[in-house]
Amino acid sequence: MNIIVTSIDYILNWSRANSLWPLTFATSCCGIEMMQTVASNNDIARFGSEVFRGSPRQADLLICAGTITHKMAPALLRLYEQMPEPKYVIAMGACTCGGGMFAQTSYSVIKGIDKIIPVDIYLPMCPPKPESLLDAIRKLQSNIKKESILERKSFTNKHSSPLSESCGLLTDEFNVTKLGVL
Amino acid sequence: MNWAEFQNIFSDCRLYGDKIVINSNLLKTVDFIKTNYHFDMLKEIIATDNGDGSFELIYRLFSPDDEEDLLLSINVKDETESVSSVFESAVADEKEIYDLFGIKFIGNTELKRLYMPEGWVGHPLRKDYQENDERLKWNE
Repeated sequence: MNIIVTSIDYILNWSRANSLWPLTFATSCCGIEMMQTVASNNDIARFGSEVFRGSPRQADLLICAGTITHKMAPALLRLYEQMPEPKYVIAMGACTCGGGMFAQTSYSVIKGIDKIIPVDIYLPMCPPKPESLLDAIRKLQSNIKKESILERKSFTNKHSSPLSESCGLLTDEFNVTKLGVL
Repeated sequence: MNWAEFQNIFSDCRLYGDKIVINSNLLKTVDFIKTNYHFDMLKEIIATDNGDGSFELIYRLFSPDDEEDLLLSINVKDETESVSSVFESAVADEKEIYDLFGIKFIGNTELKRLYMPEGWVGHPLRKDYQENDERLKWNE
């Protein structure tokens, strides 16, 4: 039994880890570094992640590149909820990790996207170099390769938003009650 | 621009540095300047919180013929006249100022939130603004 499960795990994880399709989601200056990572000097295609998708329904990986404000937060949560399982999140840049330089005084910035959605890899720096993003993707790949289909349920629980345990698709009422403001 | 002629009509205005300071009749003054001196473009509206409950609004007018700027300054309390009937581009500027400073422009029909989310409490660029919204406790 274990031999079969391990073999299936190996093939599943191998295919998932090497074809992570990111969602095009760049909200500020980290997006420039993300574009540079895609371009030919650094070439994210070497790690199988070059297919940036415009629709969250076709994406596995959310590279959150840039500051998230209160006005953007419901949109980010909605995009994350629309992504199919299995889904992974890289918090790219200091702003998404903990507010960055806006953490102390800004009235409009979310202090870390882990207050809204679960995060797999934190990638601080302002902004991270393309090499750092590639390293984050490599680390995520090595994490994916340790998964097992027997622990599927705990994985799904870990990857549902802390704000949306009982809710499926977001509604405006949901945003008002859970996120505070729309 | 003929300053003496201008001062004859609007007696309560004065020249302070390079800006004209007026106390009232904002819409009338702007209309007069546009009609008679061909300052046909409103470049921007600057708002400043003076800290004592009043706000300074600076209107930067531009004359394409002479390629000159003209600064028109007025001190207001919470509300003032809208110049959107003279310059249509003022609608968006006044909307932004209403969002961040809470100054009501009488005559502007589009006064609602622009940068802040709908339902936000308070106007964040005011000097006495305190963020104490119960609904935002999760973000601390």
